[in-house]
Amino acid sequence: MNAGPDVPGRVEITARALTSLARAVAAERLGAPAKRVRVGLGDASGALALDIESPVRLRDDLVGEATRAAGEIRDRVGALTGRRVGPTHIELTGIVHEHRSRVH
Amino acid sequence: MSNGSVERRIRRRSVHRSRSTAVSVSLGVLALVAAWIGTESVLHAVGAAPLLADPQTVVDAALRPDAAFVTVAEVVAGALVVLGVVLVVLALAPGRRHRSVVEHERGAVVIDTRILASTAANAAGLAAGVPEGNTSAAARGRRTEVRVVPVTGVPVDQETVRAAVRDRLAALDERFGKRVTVRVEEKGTLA
Repeated sequence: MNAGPDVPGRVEITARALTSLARAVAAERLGAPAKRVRVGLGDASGALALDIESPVRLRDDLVGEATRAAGEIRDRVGALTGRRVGPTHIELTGIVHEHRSRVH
Repeated sequence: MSNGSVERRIRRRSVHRSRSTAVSVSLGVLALVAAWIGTESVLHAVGAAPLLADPQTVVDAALRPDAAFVTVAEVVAGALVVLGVVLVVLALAPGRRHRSVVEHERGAVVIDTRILASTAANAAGLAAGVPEGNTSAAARGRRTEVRVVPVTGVPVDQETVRAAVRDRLAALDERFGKRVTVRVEEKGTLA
């Protein structure tokens, strides 16, 4: 990616950084702790392919919610990295139990 | 481009491979064979014993070979055919080296085609926004081929890259930028 017409040099994002970013975005959206989210990156004919394995917060419509989440994660990762994000695959691996911590 | 005969000669000699090695080797072999035939003829005329073999006996054996001699004759003939083909190719092929002539008002300027190739690869990398290692190029004569491996998720416009390479090469010499082909790989690299 070019830094711009006036600045020589380029900005590069490493694969590790992309992975952590996608993991953070997915964890935020799905309501799971980031360390339980696994993200694999791939290339689908030039577009970034996301492969997410994550538990999810308990909802009524889990599948519909996950599908919407996939679209939103894709848009968010695309917006943050400036890359074209293609197929986004979400694999639900479990339920996150929310323990309400009491704040006094 | 300066058109002095010396410069033209220097340019030609720098771009094309010299044939003098092939010529001197084959002339040396020819001289040896001629000397041998001459020696044997003189020895035959004075009635002395042949040095290696009587040329007449050699020719007779080659024309009417007995069973044992056939394989030897075939091997020798095969070697001679290969040698002949090599010499014909050396004589007719242009024998271009990996160098190109650059127009200049004074003197003869010749550059290695690797310089053209890496210039093209650099221009393509800048235009496509990919790291240096993702582009490679080959230049041969006037033709330049560039290969770009895109960064995953960053689309590369082939025409933009082509125009950038063309402009950069044309800055060296306008003839280099005319035949540029750009291939963008379908699969990209992550970083």
